Amino acid sequence: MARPGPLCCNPDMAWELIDHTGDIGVVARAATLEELFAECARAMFSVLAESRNPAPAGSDFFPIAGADPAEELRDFLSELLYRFSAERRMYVAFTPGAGSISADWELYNQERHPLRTELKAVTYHQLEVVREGNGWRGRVIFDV
Amino acid sequence: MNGLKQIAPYLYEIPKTGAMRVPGRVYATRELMESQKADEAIQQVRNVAHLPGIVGHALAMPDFHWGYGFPIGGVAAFDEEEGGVISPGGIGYDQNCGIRIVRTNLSRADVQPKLRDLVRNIFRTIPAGVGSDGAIKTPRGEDAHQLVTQGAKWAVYHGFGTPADLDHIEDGGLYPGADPKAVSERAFSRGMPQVGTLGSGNHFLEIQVVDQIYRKDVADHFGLSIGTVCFSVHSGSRGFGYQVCDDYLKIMMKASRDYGIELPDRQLCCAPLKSPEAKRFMSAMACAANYAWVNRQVMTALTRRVFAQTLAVTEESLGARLIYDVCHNIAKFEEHGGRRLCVHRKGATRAFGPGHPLLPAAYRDLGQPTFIPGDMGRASFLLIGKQGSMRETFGSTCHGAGRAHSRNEMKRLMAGRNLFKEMEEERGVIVMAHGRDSVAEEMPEAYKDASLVVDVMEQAGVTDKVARLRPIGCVKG
Repeated sequence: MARPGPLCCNPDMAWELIDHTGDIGVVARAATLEELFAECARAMFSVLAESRNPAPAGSDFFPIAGADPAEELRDFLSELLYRFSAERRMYVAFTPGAGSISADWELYNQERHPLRTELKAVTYHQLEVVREGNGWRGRVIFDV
Repeated sequence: MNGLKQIAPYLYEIPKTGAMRVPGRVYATRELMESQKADEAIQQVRNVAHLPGIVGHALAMPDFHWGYGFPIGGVAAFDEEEGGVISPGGIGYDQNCGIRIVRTNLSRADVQPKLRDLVRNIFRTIPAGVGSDGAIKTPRGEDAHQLVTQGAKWAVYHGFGTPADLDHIEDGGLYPGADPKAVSERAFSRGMPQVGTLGSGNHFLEIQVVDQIYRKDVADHFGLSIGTVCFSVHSGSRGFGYQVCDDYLKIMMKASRDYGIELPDRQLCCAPLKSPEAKRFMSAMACAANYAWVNRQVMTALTRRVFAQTLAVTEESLGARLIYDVCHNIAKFEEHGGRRLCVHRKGATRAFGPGHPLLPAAYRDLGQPTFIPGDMGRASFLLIGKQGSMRETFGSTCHGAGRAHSRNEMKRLMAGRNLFKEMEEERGVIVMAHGRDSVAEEMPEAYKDASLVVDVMEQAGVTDKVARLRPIGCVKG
């Protein structure tokens, strides 16, 4: 994963962090649903911790059905957050495929992954995944 | 302002419109209302008023701000005999997040020469959480089950604190009815390694000095006078509670559909209190509440040890006595006006008046002590519950200063500033933080002035100020 730039956005502006009084939200845009999910995941991990010179130790596979994209996005991010918190998997790269995402991880290490902000959960508040032009737009709020 | 009617200098009413079942009420002065963009939070008060079985008013305390589902600072009571519900969104992911205050025999002069060592040693002893092991060996199997069913008593049994602490915790540090079978394995695997960890966000461990006394009679009872050094611990149920809440939101989404409950915001998903879904959620929430009390109890005991070791005194001479531990994210069954109600407090604190049977014997004549943390640069307040809280707010008061600016806004505003130096040189507070962004997000400018917040509750006859405390050292998650 390319190292995210300033916390407000990534260099290509595929996602941006949005204001929410006590919490943090993200809005992302992408051509496909799988790319949208990957962008939101990149945004979430950029909030959680920095990643310096990633060296993936493993990869996880997440099927994306697309039946209820908003709820699926929340569940996908929530699963990543659980694995980060319980299994210390720091996800460092997301590769969207057709109907799936492959996510590379390395074990979290405080020295190599300075913590930015711990997230408690991925909420349903203002959760949205909608068609926009030829692509998709998604919004999700994290509980800090 | 947004259809609100000011009915007292400290109180606004939100008229009942549309499908609202009751009106809303916001405890705030005009100054507090104008100090923030309140529209979204007020809409959330309206949304809460739509829920089945709600009684009286949907309430917001003066530190209210935009949350998810309920506003932060929200209070609502539900009658199970009238189809009342329980909603995880009315409690929050951090179930039984709360705060406790501990007084010591120390004066500022005793602490000041060693203050930097003290803050550093606390910082090294109390982990933040992610990526670090808990401060104690991870409880597993039956031990983990006992932890979540016994609450603070489990911690005392394992050598963290004394039995006297238990008398100074809301409900004795035990939420009854906890059933580990109602909790997922994921919650145990996420939460158990984090026992004795502070967490991130607005969680902290702070050293403070009493600098003003408002009610000497009560302050004397608590062993507080001008110059007394105290410490407070603000944390909750960590990954255990977050996972319990997340697991049950899915169950409550389905339950809301199954019971035909129309929701203005799906984060308000809920189930009737009499339903099996609600009863199972309450058993799981009780486990999370008990976990949170263990967490705060462990950190308290470790902090006492750090004080004693750093200042080269015995723990006995330290006199580090817990004044009280309060929950500010919880739902509880309580008696109000002769009815048994399920009171949700999300970013609000119980503040029963004098004589209430649920208060510990030592405080029954005084009322419930309530500690309101301000921001890390200004002041925090110790309050005492009054009878007005039973009439006005289902026995509730505020829980903090309340955010006025978002985390992103704060990071932009604070960019390029040496915040640690500013806190020390301009405000006299030594700050250490585990998270890189914690200090920028939590600078005093992010918050309303806590003194304005607690004054509203005093004007409303809900709580009295007892003492004001200034921070001198702060460890952030």
